[in-house]
Amino acid sequence: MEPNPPKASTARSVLDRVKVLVPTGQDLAQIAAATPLVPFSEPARAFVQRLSAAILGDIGFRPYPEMIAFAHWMRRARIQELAAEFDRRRNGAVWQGRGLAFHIAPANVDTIFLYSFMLSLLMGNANVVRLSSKRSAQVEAALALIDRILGERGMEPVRARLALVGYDHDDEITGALSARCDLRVIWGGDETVAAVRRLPLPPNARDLCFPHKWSVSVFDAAAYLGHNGKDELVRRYVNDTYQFGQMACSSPRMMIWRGTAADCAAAGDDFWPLLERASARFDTGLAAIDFVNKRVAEDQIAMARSVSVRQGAGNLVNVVRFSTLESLPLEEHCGAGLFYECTIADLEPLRRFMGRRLQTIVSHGISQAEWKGFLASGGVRGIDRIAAVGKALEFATVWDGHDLMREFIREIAVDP
Amino acid sequence: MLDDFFSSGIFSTTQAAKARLLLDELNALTRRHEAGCAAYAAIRSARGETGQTAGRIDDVPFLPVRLFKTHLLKSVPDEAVFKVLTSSGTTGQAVSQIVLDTATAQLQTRVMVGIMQHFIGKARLPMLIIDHPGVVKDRTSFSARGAGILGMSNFGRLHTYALGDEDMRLDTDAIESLVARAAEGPILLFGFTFMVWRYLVGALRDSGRRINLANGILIHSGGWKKLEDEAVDNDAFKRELRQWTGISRVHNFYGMVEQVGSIFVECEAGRLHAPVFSDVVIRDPLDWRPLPVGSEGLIEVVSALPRSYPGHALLTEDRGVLTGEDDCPCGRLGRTFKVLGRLPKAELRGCSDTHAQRVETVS
Repeated sequence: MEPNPPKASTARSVLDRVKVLVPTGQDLAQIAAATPLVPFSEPARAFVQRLSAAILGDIGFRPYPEMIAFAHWMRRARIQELAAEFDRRRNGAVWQGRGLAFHIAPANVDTIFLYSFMLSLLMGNANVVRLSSKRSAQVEAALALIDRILGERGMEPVRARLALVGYDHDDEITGALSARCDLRVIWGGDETVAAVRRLPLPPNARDLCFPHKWSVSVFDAAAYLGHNGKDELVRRYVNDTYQFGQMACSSPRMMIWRGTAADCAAAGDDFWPLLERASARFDTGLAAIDFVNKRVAEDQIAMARSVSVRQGAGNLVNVVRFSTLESLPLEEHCGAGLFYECTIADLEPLRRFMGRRLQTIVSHGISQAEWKGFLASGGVRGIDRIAAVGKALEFATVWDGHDLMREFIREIAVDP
Repeated sequence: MLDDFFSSGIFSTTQAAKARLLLDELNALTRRHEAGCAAYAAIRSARGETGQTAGRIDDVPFLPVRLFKTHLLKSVPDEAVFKVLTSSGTTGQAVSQIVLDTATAQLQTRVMVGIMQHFIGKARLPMLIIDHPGVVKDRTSFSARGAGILGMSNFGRLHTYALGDEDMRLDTDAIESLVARAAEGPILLFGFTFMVWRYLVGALRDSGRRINLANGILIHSGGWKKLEDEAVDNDAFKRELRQWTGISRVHNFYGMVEQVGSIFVECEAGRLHAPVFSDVVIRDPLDWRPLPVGSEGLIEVVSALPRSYPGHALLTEDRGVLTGEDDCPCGRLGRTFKVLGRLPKAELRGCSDTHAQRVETVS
């Protein structure tokens, strides 16, 4: 496990510089030396359930829907389901945690690090999580809670295998932790992935990267127009988009209407005003600079492409209509409620549109069977997930095309 | 050009009369830029507004000023370009590029002279520049500060730099020599707000020595950001300045390279005035609706001057508030306003930036 014993003393002094946030007094070198737990071990499950219940029971977390969603995701019944699914899938094989997982958390989607290390913990790994030095109030509250729970009786096996650390960008520290891990999980933008990847891993270890991606929505226009309960549908769409100012990878940046020209036009004219009203009822947290950014983006696109800009009642929702799906400026996108809009007669044009950067399609009115049929009828470069409206930000164990339960473990082949 | 504006009086035209003059000119400029600038025409077309005429000044279509940092927008052919102005910007930041033809450049000079003479008189005054001579010498890193100083230098004589080149130390010998040559007559002082605060007022306060510039008229500009960080507002600035130098005539001004002709000068009552050639609209960031006196919003500036580029109505990234209309105690007519500082940067959001800063604009 120790890759390079002669250099251990230097590595040691580097690790001494790391501020362990939780649990207090943790020794990083010891975590690296800990043996893995078995998947879905009792202490790991107990810890996850304690944390889930504590968040749900603490009114301090009520204002943070993403924390509530996390706690709900990790509730007891859900973990039992996961464990059952895990057993089904391993089908008698020997699956074990890889060892030490080193998670590099994104700065601005607060709960990702929780899903990442909790799932890894359930799979049996020891975990070191690097958090951004700029942390929100809810993250600080979660850290305090985790610290308290780790001090409870029975939590010792988890406590010995977990460290949440906070340090500013420091290649020496990231390098020292990388040199000791078996799995490095990099959440963040392309620059983070590139910067961290320059730091070597032990020969056995591997990277699991979640680089920059973006998402769109595809609605069947006729299905939308005929939908009962549009207000609820649109409210869910607002949750998908405005929760993180439309900057989460899985928040749709675009609406693609599928259907006849007349249906698509009617659906757009109906949908956007509803979205404006629903977003006005949502605490978007958008500020004047966001509205300026969107105005700048609209004009910049108008100068480069033949588009039309929908005139809305206010600046919460901005819509730029494109006549084709070809080379859209989706990569650099200011978020904050800027939507591109386009129409297609059938799904076929999506095949070329599905590049590697496309993560989620938030779908309405197109059945699972139709998507599966479409995807089975020919290969596509990208697209990781088709999700229902309102589920875009919901975490899943298959993320960005990676089956996390499988990525976090290794298989020991035992001959019959 | 704009003779009606000059004959109407730079600060003696009522808002209603000015709006009539200005609106016709602004509508003409919109048509001119639609015809001459394909990028501008594309924006108008994308918004479905091609050919529309505004009925009020606040209906004139505006562009975000930031567009001039990402695009060279011009409404004249290459051979008509007389000069290209660039904005300030620290290293690595994009700078604005503003294309002037001779007609626009001449208008700019005429308007600037008209406004400045209104405040400092027609005579060229002995001039003390609150900066160091190096700021205009090094043409390779020629800054907006240097450009501003050169522009203002036309209004003075016996140009004297108040600060030493290497260390920005206050050169009291040079100042005293200029004061002696001015022989009790008025002296024009010009500098950037922060330079005046730090290297003139600050240096005097640190040394405990007052100097007598009681006949001075200070014109200063450049933003309050650094002073705000030290919790210094305009009143405190003026109070301290008077205490250490005796200067009581102080005019801050607000303007930007992106809109020629828009020079908003602070009057004796402490309000910024729109001259007859330009105006200010305060917009609600939530829906861009124009706001009444007293409501804070985003500053939009309009000007009758920009003929060579589509900059006659620009949405800035500064916050401001209208303080009145035709009602300033100083007697000047038209709208007055106050600048409240730059918009704060956008919050970082999203999954993708443990290393990278968020990209602010689509490029």
